[in-house]
Amino acid sequence: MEEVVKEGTRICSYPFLSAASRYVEESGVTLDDLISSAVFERARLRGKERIIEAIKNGVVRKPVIISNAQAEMELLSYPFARILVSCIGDEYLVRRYALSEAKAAHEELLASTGSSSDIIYEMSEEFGIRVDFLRLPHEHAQMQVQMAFVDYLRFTSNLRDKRWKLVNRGLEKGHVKLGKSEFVRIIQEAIYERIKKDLPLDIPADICEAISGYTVDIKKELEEKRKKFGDAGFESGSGFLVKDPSCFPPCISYILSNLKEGVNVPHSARFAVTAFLLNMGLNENEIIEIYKNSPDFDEDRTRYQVEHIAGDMGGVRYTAPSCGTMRTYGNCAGNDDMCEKVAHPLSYYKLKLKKKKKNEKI
Amino acid sequence: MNERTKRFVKSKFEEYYGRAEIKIPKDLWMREWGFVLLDQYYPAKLVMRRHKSFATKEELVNYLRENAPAHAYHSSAIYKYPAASMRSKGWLGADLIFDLDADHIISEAEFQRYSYEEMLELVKKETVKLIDFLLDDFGFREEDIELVFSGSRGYHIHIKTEEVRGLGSRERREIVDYVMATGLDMDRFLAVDLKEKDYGDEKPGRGDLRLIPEGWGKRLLKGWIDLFHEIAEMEEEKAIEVVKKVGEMEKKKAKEMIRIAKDETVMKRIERGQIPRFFKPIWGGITKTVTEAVRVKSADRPDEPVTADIKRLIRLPTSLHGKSSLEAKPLRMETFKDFNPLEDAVVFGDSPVEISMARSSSIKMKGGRYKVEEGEIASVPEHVALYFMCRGAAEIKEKTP
Repeated sequence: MEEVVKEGTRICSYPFLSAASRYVEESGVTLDDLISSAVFERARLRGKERIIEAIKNGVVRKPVIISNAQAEMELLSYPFARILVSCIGDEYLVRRYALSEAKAAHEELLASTGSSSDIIYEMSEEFGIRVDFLRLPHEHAQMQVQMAFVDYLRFTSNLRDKRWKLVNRGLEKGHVKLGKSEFVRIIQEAIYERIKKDLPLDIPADICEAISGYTVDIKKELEEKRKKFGDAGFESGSGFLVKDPSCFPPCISYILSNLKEGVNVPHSARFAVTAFLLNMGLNENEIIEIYKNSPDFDEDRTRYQVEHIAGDMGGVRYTAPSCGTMRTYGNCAGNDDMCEKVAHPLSYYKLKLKKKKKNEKI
Repeated sequence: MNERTKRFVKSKFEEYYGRAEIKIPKDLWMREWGFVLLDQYYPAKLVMRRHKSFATKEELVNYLRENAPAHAYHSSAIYKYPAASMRSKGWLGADLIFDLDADHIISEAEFQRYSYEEMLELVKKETVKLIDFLLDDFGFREEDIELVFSGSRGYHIHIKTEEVRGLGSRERREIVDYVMATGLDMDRFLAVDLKEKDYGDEKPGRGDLRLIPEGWGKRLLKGWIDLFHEIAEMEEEKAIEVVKKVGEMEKKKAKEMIRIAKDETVMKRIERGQIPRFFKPIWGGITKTVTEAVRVKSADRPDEPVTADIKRLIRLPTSLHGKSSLEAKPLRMETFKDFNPLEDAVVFGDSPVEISMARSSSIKMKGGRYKVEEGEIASVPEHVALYFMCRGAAEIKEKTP
């Protein structure tokens, strides 16, 4: 009996695994049962809770599983949560939900891999990551994982911290070595991609209608979150109501001082600073003013370009480039302590502003 | 290039395609093809005829024979519908392509200072560095690396293994960054934990910096070892100069460093990857020197030398380059060092052709040196005539009536 509960617990901690979906399939529970049968009310409520937790806390905590029945409900709550997310069909919610599930699985993996590596093997197989596990000769050394660089890139090219950059890795004969916890972090990315991949699912309208009682609370929660952080939160930059140039990152300050002194600044840097300031909430006239000292200033052209970046002409509204892109184009002006903690000039500003306010209070 | 010259060039290109053994890229039928023809627009307007596809080798070869194009390209990508418009092609994957051109390596300001031969030499140096990264760090097998002379001022590398095909632009950008050392942070190759016991017999010195000899760390360590060997063999005054420069320090300090560097046990420690903390002041300097020497360089267009673009066209190996008349020649690693495009990529013969020069030019081809002034009428070997014509430096001489 204990064994069965253990297996159930294991699967329901990682409900995105193919073993889990197989389990659900074989259980004989139909979609109809899942969305309407009274027997599964617990699974449905837990499914809703998963999403609310994702919105509120950014991670879907795992309950302690004490019985088989509970394990089954926990497991079934996952497909139901996916249906809910799909019916709401909000892109931000899809990302946030996938991330929260992935984070929870990551925590779980970190906690459980101390004892055995089985689950790590299983995960690598699940995601088609070719790995070798190396053990260093002396006993207390951390286990190391070695993987093909192609797989490594597949799952890390979205990670912005420079320690993940391939160039900063001991790449030897096509293989990257990682510590165990680093490898688990990569698994988190793989999980995130897997969960996000086919969301939102194509759910018929009548089904969405039938479960609207569950979605209504989620929508409310989502709305709440939006109000607090501005519409698209970080990306649109509407969270930055305060403009404080003393909190700008070194790269942006450097470009600005060059512009002020009439130094000719490369196109990529102009793009970066313009997008950054637009994200900050400056308006187009304020930004055009900054370019007036440029040796090749042409007001009409500048206005056209600024408006283009601002998305005024029906295009996309651009977000300032990340630290990685800034470095690639040679626009990173060098690091300070704060830079170490962020991967994006906008995060730098946000963090520094927060720190400054904290200091002022004291 | 006037019409008569164009006709002449075209007839010669036809001759080439009539006899040449064209190298057919893997998955020919899934690739998009593009050509610039020697038509009425050429060379004033380069019209690229793209979105073509060929089902078989014969179809492609026939097209080349019939049209004798100035430029022939195929996509690095493979598509479900290669001839469809860009939007509906159905991307299935792409070869990993590296494109090293003098254009990317020498900045515009410096361009005038180099002769064609010198440029080719510089690009070759960068290519050798790139190949070293591909074999050693990325672990590609020699037979997976197709090296091709671009037909002009550089080299192309095609890697067509299954595993690289699925890489997206972002992943490819990481590979570019790796070989160009973009975002490199050497401190990441310093082990901080010196309590670990896997040093073999000898314990590390107290407070040594331990350099992890992998990837870029390995290259940095080699830099340290080379520098210290160099110093050990130099006269003291010279060595002081070198160390002062690397570490930006006073003479007294540099002298002290050299004294210690000459100590054999210190040298041994360094060879094992343990840098005595005493040398910390020159860490930054050596890192910078090594990085500059080893990385694959690009003047000011970081995107171009190794492309992250997954939908680009690349010149067909064994086709002719319309701006040089040279063959985009596939090369072998073993003979790359001795490859001289101005001999080995020349496909045309020696029979004399009379040309009239539109501008002064000089070139060394197949061992002969040719220098002709603007307005001059000269009789040169066919391969030289075609080179000048394709470069726009000469026209075929009008027949006297």
